[in-house]
Amino acid sequence: MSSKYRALILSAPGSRGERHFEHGLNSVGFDSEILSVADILDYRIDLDQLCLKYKVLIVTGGNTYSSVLGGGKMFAIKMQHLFRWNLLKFAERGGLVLGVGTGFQALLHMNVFGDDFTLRINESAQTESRWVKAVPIGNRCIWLKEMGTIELPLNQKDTEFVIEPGAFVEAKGKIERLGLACLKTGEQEKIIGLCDPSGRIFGLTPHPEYFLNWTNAEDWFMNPTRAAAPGQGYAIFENAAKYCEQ
Amino acid sequence: MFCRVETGFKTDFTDPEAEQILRKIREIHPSLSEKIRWTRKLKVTWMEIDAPRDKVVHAIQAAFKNRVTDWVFTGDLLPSAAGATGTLYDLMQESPFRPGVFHGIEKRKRLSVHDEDALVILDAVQTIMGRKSPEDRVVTGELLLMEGARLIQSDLEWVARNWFAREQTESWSLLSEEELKRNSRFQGEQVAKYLASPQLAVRSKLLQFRSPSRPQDLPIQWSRINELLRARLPDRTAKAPLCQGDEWSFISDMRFSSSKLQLESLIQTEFQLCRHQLEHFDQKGEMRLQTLLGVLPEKNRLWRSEIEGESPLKVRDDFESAIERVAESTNTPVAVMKVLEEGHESLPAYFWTGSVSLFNPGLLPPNPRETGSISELLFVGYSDQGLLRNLTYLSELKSVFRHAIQGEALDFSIHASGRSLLQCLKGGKSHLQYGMDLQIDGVQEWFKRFFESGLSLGFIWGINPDKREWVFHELGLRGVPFLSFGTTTLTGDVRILEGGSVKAGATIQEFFGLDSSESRGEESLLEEPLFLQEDRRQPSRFRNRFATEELILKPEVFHTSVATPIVIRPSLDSWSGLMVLSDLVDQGFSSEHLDYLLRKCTAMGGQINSIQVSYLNGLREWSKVLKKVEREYGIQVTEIEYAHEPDIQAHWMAIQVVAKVSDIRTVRTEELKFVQDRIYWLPGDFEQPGTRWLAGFEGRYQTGLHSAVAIESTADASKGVVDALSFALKKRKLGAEVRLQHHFPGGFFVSVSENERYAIEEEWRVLGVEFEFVGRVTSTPYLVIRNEADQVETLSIEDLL
Repeated sequence: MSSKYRALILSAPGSRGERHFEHGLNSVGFDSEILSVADILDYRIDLDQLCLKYKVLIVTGGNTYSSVLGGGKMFAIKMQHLFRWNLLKFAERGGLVLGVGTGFQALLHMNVFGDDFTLRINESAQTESRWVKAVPIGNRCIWLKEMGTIELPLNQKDTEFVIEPGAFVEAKGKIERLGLACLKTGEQEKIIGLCDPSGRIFGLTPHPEYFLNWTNAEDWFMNPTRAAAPGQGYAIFENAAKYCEQ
Repeated sequence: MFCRVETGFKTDFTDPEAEQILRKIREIHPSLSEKIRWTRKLKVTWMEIDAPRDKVVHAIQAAFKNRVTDWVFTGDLLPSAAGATGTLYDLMQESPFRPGVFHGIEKRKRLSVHDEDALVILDAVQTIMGRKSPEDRVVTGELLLMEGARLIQSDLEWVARNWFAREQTESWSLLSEEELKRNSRFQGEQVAKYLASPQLAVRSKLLQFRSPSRPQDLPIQWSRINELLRARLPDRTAKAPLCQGDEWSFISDMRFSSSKLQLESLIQTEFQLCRHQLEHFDQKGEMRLQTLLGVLPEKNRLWRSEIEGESPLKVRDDFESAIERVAESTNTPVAVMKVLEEGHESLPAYFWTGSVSLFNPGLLPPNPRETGSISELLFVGYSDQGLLRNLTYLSELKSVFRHAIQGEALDFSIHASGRSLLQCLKGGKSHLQYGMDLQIDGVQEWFKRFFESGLSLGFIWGINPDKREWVFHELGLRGVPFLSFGTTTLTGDVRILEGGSVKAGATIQEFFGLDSSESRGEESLLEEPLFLQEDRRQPSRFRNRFATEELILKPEVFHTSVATPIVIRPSLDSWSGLMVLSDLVDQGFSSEHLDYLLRKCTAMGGQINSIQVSYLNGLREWSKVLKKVEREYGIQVTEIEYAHEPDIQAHWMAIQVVAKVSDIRTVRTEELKFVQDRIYWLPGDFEQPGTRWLAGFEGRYQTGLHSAVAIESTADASKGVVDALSFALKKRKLGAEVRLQHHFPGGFFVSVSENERYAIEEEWRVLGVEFEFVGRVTSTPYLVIRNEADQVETLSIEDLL
């Protein structure tokens, strides 16, 4: 990439994977920057500043704010009420947004995809730490362009995608109509990723930032010849870079 | 405004966290899990937000409400926030067993515990409202909702203690179905009960509200002298040699073993420590103990337990007189705990525990001086917290202390650690009541710093002016920092002097706030004190004060109150249950509370030996409850201390229960007592529910039992069983008609009165206790035995024995 676009990696108390994001984004050509909630306040980055300075916004996952009030809720409150960011407007002005894990939950709490969906705690009430096979649906999502089945690590307690029971039919219809669901699990076809109608805002429960190299995979030694190859999470960042170049 | 917010999953969704609790219970206690047919967990938040109602409602909606999955219950703040009625009743409708019997266990963070979740919620609410206020307060907790018709209170307590709440950091209470359905828990005063005041951020200091030592208007305008203050602090010595570690093992043991994570080892260590003290107690040990009590905050008290033991009388007497000396010299209150039980072989045990004191007992000397004298006021000590570990300094300080006492150089000593200078001076009324002049030449900064904040380690000494030089020399020689800051006078005034001129002043009455305390009549007390109209007995020699809600086992804090008593193990064979009650925090005191404490103490088997009660402005109602318990259980309640302080408009009571851990088979007296009592046989293996029931682990009707006789397993009933029955009947010259089988697998014979049999039998059935009716007690001293073939044999008890 000739001219470097800037990416903002937003972190909060308890968030994880910022460095992985930084590494992934920098390696595809972005100039990324990790800023905490306090930094955003210090630098007074409002929506206009955000649109002007940054092309990509990453909302990190992890146990942000100890998941008090629900995973990502406090993060969403900070973005909505303290920074007064409207991510839909950011996307309209060409920005890309990626929310991962509880970052995805934060996007859901901000009603970026509508207010009829959320993630809830899984049945075991334990943090699930495993690899999931993810199948992209449609080709609207910029982050998943031309990607086939991918495998990504999952590390989360709230993994179950649920739809408002009171308006189930309408909400289900909305997902189908707008093509919001862009990532499903391989076998049970559970929704694990959503993108907005513009395709620029993307949220998913598994963590692409933890699969940047093939050696991050559990069974990489079965294919030692691929050890130097990039991981499948890397492709997601590459798509973002390609989009910015166009 | 006060509000309470409860958040739970909608009935369309399962509750995995509640299911998880149920799964755990199922593994450990299958019979109990069968009783719980349905459960739900709700997050509860108590808040006081200094904002208009509409703003608070908006903030709650934005922060707590997840439209898709959650229901939010707020009383009347968010109308129809959940389901049809907007109350918990909507959630209860989801239970498969309707109408059902519902129970609730509610837990919340204790007032002095750091509540991280509350901070986040407070941040969220304040962020949404766009403003911050120091008055806002939040406490978080959870509510476990359960349905089960067969659940009894002990089941719920078991769940609460073992699976739901961490008692060291959380308090819990049980809610009945009526309370759950009503919305009264959302009312302001109910919410306010659980919210810590802003002053309680770090530690609970509830006493500050009503302590007379902090009058509303200070008689002296202390702010006037602030501008005069300049910096100078006492210098600390740079070359203090380190002392040997083993010499101070006593203190380090005390500290080390008090780790919260090693409660068991704490008990063990303390016990061994104390035994060691007893056996090798000499003058050195006495000094160490003295130093220890000096180092510990003034809240400590010395418990002296007297147990008939095997140690030589001489050793014990020496030890006890040494304890007396230490208590006198350090002004540490001593409580005597008598544990005398016939036939119990036990070791003497001495242990230390502390309770938060309202006043420093050291400031109330046994013999206040009749007339005043002029002494030089000296602050001796450091301001640095880290120096608490400087044992050399302590040893040097104690050494000067002892020399000064021996040389009659020390008129009085006020223990200053942890208190502000003002508090120390106000506390030293008996020594300073004739007036004082405080010189602030060159020490203003020191004054300023310590006038309101605490002095960390040290004493305020009154020095005989004739011996002044000698004391200064001693202190300087040993590298103990000191600062002379005034003298006591006989003028009846308190004066702040600089450069010979008076900067501020007041009369001594104003300073000590005598006017305000005298004008406060006794009728202003919440209730007539218990001992006001009764004959006053001789007050005990040492005065104890109890805190409202916490009791300190140095240095860790264990909270105790009526709802959550604590039980510690002072020695290997006894348990001690402690409960502190105050009308400042607790709602009331009933016999169920004491019953709970007693059951907790006997849960590991054993028998209640004694109950000791100390009062401060005790209430008549409390006494009634204790009398009732004394009557019902037949346990003697001893009032070891009581005091009446009209100045303190609050009432405290501390209860200590001592239970001896003994063999399970000596739970109750072994003789059969009453004619026509029904005799049952309970199988006696330790794993059996019957044994658990006898030990008090389960059930509530053990008190209805008249006797329990242990029976060894025997192949021939004519041997052990008949002998045991004969001995049980001998004392009261009674007889019995029993039906015995030839082979007997051991266990217990228990006797129950006819009136109580139905309740007890029902409880046995519910708890799965096997039992078999054996026979009845008769008035004639003959044992009538029917065997399996219905043959009757009549034996005279006397002949048998």
